[in-house]
Amino acid sequence: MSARWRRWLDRLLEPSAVLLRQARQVLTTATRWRGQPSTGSLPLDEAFLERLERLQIAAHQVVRQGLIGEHKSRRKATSLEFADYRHYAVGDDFRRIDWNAYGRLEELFLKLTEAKEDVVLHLLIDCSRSMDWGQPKKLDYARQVAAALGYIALARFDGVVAAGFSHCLHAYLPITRGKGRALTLFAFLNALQPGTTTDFDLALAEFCQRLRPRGVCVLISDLFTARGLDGGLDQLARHGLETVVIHLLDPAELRPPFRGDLELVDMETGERLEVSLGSEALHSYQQRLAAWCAEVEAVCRRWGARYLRVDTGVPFERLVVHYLRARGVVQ
Amino acid sequence: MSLLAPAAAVFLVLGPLIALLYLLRAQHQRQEVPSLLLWRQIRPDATGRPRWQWPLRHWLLLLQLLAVALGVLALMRPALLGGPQRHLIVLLDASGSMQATDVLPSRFEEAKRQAAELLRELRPNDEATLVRVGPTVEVVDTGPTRQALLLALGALQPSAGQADVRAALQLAATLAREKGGLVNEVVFFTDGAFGPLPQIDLGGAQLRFVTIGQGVDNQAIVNLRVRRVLDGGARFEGFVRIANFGDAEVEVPVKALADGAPIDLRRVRVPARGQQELTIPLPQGVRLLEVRLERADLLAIDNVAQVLLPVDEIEVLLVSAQPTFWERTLRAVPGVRVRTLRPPQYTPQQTAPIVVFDSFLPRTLPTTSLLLINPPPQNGLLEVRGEARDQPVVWTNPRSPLLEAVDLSGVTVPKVPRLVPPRWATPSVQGPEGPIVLEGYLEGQRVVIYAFDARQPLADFPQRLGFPLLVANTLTWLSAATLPPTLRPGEALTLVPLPEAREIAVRDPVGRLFVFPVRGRALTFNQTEAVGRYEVVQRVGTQVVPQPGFVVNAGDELESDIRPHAYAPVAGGAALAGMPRGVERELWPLFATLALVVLGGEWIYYARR
Repeated sequence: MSARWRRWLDRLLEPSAVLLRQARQVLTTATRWRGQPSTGSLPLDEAFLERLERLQIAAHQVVRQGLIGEHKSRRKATSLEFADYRHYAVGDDFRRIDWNAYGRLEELFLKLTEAKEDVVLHLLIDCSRSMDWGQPKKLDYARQVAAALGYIALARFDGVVAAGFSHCLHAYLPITRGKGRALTLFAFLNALQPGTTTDFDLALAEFCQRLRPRGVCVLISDLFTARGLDGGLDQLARHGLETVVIHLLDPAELRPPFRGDLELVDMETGERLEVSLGSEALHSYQQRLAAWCAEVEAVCRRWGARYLRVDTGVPFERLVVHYLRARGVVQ
Repeated sequence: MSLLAPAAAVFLVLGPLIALLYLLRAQHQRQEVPSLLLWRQIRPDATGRPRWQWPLRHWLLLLQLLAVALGVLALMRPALLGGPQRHLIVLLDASGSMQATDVLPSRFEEAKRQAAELLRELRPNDEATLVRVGPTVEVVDTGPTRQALLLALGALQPSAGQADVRAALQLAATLAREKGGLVNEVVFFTDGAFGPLPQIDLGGAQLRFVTIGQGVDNQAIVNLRVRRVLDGGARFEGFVRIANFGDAEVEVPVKALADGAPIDLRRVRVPARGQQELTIPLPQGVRLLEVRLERADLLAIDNVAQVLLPVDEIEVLLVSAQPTFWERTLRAVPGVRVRTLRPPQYTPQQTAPIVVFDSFLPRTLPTTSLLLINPPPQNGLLEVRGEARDQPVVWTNPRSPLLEAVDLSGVTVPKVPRLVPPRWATPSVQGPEGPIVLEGYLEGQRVVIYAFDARQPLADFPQRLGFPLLVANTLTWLSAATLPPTLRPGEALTLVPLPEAREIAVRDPVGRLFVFPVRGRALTFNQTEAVGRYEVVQRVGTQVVPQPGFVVNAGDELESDIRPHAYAPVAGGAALAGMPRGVERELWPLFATLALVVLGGEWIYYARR
């Protein structure tokens, strides 16, 4: 038996309990951080998954290629669901002329129907070392958000592509579809490990080289990078991706609890900085943080990306069900 | 555990200094952040910085303080002490010979230095007693406190007199018996110039000598006296004896001063370990004769001697039923004025500086010097047990002042009352069956007893040359007005008050004033350690009456011989055998190692932080 067949057989016989355990591990991490009991049972997760199944990824741009999916498209197609009429123009398909309307009105109208489009969700998770910080750790929070969004997409039979990156792309899950592949997605997310520094230019360029179907790209990161975000967003925009930037910030980053003389150590680069933190310095930090967030938001806006700043102190269920829905990321 | 160098505790000040450094320069706390992107550009905070912080949360500080504590403990030399508690008795020779300068600055200062070293080596649980051995022996300080002992030692000064070694050893024996539960050790710092060592039972204590000094070059005026010239006039001549205790003959310039004015200067050759005598004629009316040796030697205090000359006639009251013989004898002594009374005429109000009772004793004795001749039986003062006939002189006291230049060889006394010597008197001349001449102090008064009747027909003693000399010496010694012309340092002196005197004051050569109230009795004055002239005054009513005073000379045949003499240790009881005297085990290496280990841990902690 060849190795290829053996792998296929192993995957076929892989106990579903293992995958279920991995899913439970991924999905219950956030509830554990919130102080809820880690019993291993999934009442919340099951209910939460049911709620997720009622959501779908909002794709605001037209997807012109790929399979016919469940997303309504602004493009009119030849489906059975009536959408509108329009006047005949030269070159239109004669078959789509509504002859009944011609009989009544003596004008040529084309009968338009709804187009059902396929959406591919690209999940880009920042796995730099700075994400391995916070309470909960931002990387774990990013896993939860990615898992939830991915499940939403898979439940709608949308394609899901996932990737973890730091200074380069070091984990990649090819496109997968169907709710049955959710556990594969969860296992992929669970296997992500913190890397080194963040470099959007290199990592997203590498990601875009593997990109074939366009769709929605959700970039989950704390955006701490020395080279900026422009290059990465440029790459995504040029590949026609509808980008959503979820900017994770820990409560301690939003409101630092530190006081006194501190030697701050950059956990990505190891650089050190001695500061004396008092009310004045912290106020200065808040100003600097606000300015930086505004700057990032402006960059996102410039490249047509939606920008969502997320406090990781917010439970991720609330984030997915309410916050992302309110911001139009899901609907 | 005891600390051998507790003074090193001063280094503990390093601990607060290190803590102060932490307080003043608060160390930055390490804090990891995801990125310095935002922190680099904040404004530095001038007001938010704490002025100080509680330093004890720093492990580095705690380790450093621990290392300092261990290091200082090592410097303080902790040790385990073995052996029982010791009692160290330090005898310090403060005699005149200890002022010799063959060991700089002097033997006494060197003895103090060595004694201080010994006291510093005492263990904390040991006790010590410091004894100054001069003409008088005194306990300077005692107890376990080394600092107090060292302070008392530093304040000690030498005397000019002889050391009373016997009394010192007796005191040491008493102290050793009082501390019978301790291991007693007596250490005597001395030059050994005190003659044979008295044999004293030290009560089991060990006696060890530390000999100070090495030189012998010393010349001294060992005797200076004045006497009337033999022609019976009022002029005096001085008699000087100079001794050379060195090992080589020397030529000594001798200078004589009368009332401070030079009257004589001559060079005298004195053989090695020999003596030379001089006679110096004195001008009339001189009050004070001073003689100086103008050669630098190792001991300076015995190069000067002074003597006071008698200025008045001695008044003597003779009470005798047959006064002719004694009146003639007493008048023969130069400078004596005699007043005679019959026994029935005598009343206590009839008094004189010297009262002579011949074959008679009143019920109440006067408070002056007395010469009792042939005391009658049942006299109330002396016990007389019959008479003895034809008593030859068999022994004379060579140190008696009554017998100076008196030759009694071959003298036989025909009739002698058998006197039982009283406790206050010592025989000067002894016969086969009892004393013939006695001398002593009765309640501070000088008393001489002639136990013979010189008027006996067969008595040949009055015909001998020594008889008038004996009488003259007796009157000189008895005369209260003629205070002893010269004293040895530390020698006691009897001060006889004048009638109606209220106070007697003595000013010593260094200016100290001693005032004694008079309660009708003679006083004993023994503060005579300073060398030089002492002034005496008495307050009678409102008048201050000057007295002749007296002088103290350091020159002494025994004390001026500064040749050091080493004595072998005197072993005490068996308790000392194998007794550990020092530290059983010092623990500083252990603490030093611990300090190094802690320092190493601190370094590792700092490197890994």
